[in-house]
Amino acid sequence: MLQHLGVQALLDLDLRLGEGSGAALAWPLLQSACAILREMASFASAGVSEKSTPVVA
Amino acid sequence: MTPLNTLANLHNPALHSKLQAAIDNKTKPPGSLGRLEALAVQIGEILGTDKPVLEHPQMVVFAADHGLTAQGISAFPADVSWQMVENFLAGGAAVSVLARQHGLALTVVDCGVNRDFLAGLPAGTQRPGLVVRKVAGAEHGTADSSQGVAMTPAQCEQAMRNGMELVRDLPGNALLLGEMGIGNTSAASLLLARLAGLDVELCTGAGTGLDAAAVARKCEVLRKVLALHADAMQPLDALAAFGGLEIATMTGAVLQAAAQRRVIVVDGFIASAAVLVAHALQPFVLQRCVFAHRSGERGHEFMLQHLGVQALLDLDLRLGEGSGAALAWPLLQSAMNSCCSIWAYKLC
Repeated sequence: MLQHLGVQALLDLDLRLGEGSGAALAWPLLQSACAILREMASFASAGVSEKSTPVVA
Repeated sequence: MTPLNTLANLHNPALHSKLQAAIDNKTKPPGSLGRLEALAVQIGEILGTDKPVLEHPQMVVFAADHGLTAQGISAFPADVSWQMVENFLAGGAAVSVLARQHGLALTVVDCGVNRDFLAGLPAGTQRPGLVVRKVAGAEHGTADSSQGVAMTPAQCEQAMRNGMELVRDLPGNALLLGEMGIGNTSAASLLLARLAGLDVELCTGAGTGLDAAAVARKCEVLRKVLALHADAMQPLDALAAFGGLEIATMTGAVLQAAAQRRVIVVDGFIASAAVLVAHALQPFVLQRCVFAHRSGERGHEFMLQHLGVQALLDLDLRLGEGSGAALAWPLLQSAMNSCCSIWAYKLC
């Protein structure tokens, strides 16, 4: 069904209970995604150097 | 190294049966909560009770620098190690955000970052959330493992002892592993190649974001490092040869946490490398470990296979810091809550 819809699920924990149990278990991941957008510092604001060109000897 | 007490086999058939029976009695078809059920049983066995409660979870981020970065094996400059430590302390990193979200106490351990985080502060000043555990002679990070050993045996032992002492005094019964160190995927790849006997190409990935050509060059650097230390076959010899200080400190932390029957939540490739070393010393350490996620870093799936374990999440994460361990934490809480609080049929 997921293949037909062309989508990928977040969790793969062999759940087969239904009731919304899997949706509830995945909910903190949605909250994390939003928290990261809202609260994480940027390279500039945190003063962290960005990617450099590696010079492998 | 001081001889380690042998870790006990936690398996307790009576407790296992009791936990399984409790779960099977819940208001759901048997087995329908899938791997959450096995997780609940595992946590019960670690904590030694059929009514487990996870308390005061501790996220510890082990940070250090790597001399091998002189060989250009990372996409980011080595300064990012200390800059990210400051970012952790300021609360702006991914693990800071996720630790706040899930109520995890966050401690950053300077195991050998090339920076004095207490510079300019009055002697004896502490910085909240930071613990400084630099190893004598390795205050700025490991030596370049392409030229000699990354750590002397004494430095490696000191780092491990630091990790043990640090965990011994932590509150709670759960330790979540995080790390920071530019160049540390190289150390983890080297440990995997040596301790699992795999070709280094299977163990070498993009780290913070190398392109394919740079990964190939990194792999050749690592191949030479392995050849230079061909005699470092024993776990502690390999750890000293390849580093890093954060992995050695984390290895000590894992052994101590295991001895205290804490639930150890293992993050990605680097944290798993510390568990790989700990497992080579004390096989029963794995009984205490919950593997949070399968990293997108090449090599991690082979490491998990070598250890014979399955991770909870598979979200193509490759950040480290403990971000995957923090993301998996609610699943441990859910396993506990469903194990302990779904109505049992017999009570309804």
